[in-house]
Amino acid sequence: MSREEFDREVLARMEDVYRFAMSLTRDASRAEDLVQETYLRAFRSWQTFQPGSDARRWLFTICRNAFLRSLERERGTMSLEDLTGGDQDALGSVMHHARMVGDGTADRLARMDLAPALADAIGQLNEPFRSAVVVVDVEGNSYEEASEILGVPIGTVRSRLFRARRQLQERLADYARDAGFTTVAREPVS
Amino acid sequence: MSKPTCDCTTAMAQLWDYLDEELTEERYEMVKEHLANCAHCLPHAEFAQGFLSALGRCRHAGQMPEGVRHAVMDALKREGLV
Ligand SMILES: [Zn+2]
Repeated sequence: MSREEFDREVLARMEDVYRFAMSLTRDASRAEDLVQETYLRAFRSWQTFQPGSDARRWLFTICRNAFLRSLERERGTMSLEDLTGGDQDALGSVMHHARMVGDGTADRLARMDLAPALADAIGQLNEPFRSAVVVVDVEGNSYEEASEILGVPIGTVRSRLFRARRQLQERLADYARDAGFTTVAREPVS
Repeated sequence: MSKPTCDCTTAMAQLWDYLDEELTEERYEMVKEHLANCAHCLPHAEFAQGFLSALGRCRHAGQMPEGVRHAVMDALKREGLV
């Protein structure tokens, strides 16, 4: 692949990278910094790009790593490694929303546009959960693509993703409560 | 030969994988079959589906400001990368 082809292919993806950076940072000025950092890194290591591979995915990987590094800089040297794995994540997450279905909260939530509340809630998730949900649920990548972008095995993607969804659902339950859909004093479900 | 079937716990444990279309075809059909016949699990699946589609709508919709491309190109030039 010639340098010109690389430039063309990678620069054509800037809108995608910006959107991804916005989803990760939820802040226009931080997203801009992140896009710039992503492109500086991409161009410095352009030889590592495999011709024929997915430029968008490659850029997302770089962008997500740059995002993690910016968080580390902000927060000192906290470890962003997985907390734990586990097979209970899927069921635990589903069981949580089972409660919302059971007490009617889910019904009420189903009639509202959840996207604005969820967008806020994503911004409150910590890493590595935020990236997992952004890469799979917001950007629509498969588990396998996410595994490549996040640089972890598929099992880890699933476990992070399911835990992220569970945290988001917990926030939705708070949101429902704040919106007056009390789940404490239960009313009969009509 | 009877169709493979599953109980509620098994179906719910695979619900996310099912909705994400990450199951093998056989398992996918098994969960689908269960949901079609289980009044207990179906509302959970519907709620989860609505939740995931709302997440999909969280994609940033705005255009990238024109200034971003200029700033990136300037930075690349400054570093001698283009
Ligand atoms: Zn069932």
